[in-house]
Amino acid sequence: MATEIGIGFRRNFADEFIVNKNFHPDFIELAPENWIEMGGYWRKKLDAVAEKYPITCHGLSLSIGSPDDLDMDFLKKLKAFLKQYDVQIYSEHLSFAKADNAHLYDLLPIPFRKDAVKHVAERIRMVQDYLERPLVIENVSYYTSVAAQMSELEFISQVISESGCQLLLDVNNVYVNAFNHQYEPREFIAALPLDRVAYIHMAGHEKVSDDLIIDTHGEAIIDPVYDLFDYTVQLMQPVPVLLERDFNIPETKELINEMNALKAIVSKHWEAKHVTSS
Amino acid sequence: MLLQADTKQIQDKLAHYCLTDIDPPADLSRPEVVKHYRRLISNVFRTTLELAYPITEEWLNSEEWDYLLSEFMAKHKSQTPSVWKMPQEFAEFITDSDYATELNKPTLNDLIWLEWYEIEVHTMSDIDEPVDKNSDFSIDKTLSVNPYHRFLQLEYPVHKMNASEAKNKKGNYYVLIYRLIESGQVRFVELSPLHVALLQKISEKPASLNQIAPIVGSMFGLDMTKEIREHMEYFCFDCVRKNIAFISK
Repeated sequence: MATEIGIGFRRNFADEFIVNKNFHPDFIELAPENWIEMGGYWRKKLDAVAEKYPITCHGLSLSIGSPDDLDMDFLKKLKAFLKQYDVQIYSEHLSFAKADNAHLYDLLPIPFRKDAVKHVAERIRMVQDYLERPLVIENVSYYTSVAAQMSELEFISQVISESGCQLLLDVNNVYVNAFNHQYEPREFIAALPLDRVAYIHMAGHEKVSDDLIIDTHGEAIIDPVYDLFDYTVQLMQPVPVLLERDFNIPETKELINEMNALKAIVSKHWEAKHVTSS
Repeated sequence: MLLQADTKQIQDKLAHYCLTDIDPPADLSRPEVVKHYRRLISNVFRTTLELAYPITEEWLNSEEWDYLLSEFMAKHKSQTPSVWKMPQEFAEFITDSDYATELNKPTLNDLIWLEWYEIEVHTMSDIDEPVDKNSDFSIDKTLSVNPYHRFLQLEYPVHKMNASEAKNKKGNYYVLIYRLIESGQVRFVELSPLHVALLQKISEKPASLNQIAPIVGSMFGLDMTKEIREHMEYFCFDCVRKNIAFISK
């Protein structure tokens, strides 16, 4: 799937994936929690798109950073789902979405602490062993750090190093965090273990005040994030790239244009590099 | 566990704040923005529940609806990892906590379960059902109930009128909610107790009308007259026609 551009499969434009002949992403991504155990009308839609496109999965509820125990019943269903749809990449967020035995259905920041690194790394290894596949962990956007004892960069790097997992590099999240926490995004990306990146996410965001951006996936990608993406791909080997759009869905041609823009950037760097080196 | 007690406590406290709006953790790099986590999580709960319960939300006034949402977030610990299943826990919470009495809305429980069962039936996991689609109904052929169904016993007829109007018509109402196999659409049918008994008998174990008619008749103390047999026969025929029941292979 290298140098391929995919898009998130969402119900509010599901039919476009099936009937629009001008819309042909290289692969689609979906959240397994939204489909596991679902039958009927929507299962038929999923099966129809699964016949047309390779699928990657991006989870929401594994809650790898949770203080609570891993949900083994969920993992069992997840493993069967990944097998059923021949999912090549399963990724999750470096965050927590469950605590004190309650799901929150959104992503909270893990304290950047040494004990949290150990805790998360152990859980990643458990998940990888159970699923018999590498887990790809995404750097998340966060709006405040919580009781931090190290930097975000140290936290991410140590989790990857100690767990042996791969990295889903969300370039928009780096941009959002760099803005919100006032650091240089290019330096941050260059310092990441880029040899562990298996997948890239790109998305839009919303600036809600002069000093705060919220990662909404509800807007088009802005030029500075394209520029950061252009910079990033020059530092890396080819990996699949996904356009995330969850809300405020535009005309399909706008999504096609965004995917084409991403394709042009990766083609410029990755395909040229491949020709030169072969 | 490798996580230290104080780190766990900080995470629990942040989560608790997001669900209750009470007492955020102290050691934040940007304390002024932590409210956005509360807002984003509240939006997920609100959006999910308003999508699941559009009639209930419209029927209650905004203070009542907001109160139920905040109570659910603060007092219930959601167990399902699938957010689309969370509204079932909301229905259970509302019923178990008896908000119908607290808000003086006696039809609330019936309405909320009616709305949830529509979703549950619409999304029930697919199963392989041995159905003979080419066979017509007859009294000696084995019938099975459409596997995608729920029976709902209501105190108030919220399935056919506004919940406020239904408040004055307390009684016993039986509604079958089922899914059409081909289209996935959900249908509602009001049934008599006799019809419910017939379908429940078939759903326990596939059987022909010839086999179950005497059993169901005796449950209701009925003499199996020609009229009653014909009534049962027409009902079963109609169920097959409407995809409520199938001829088993």
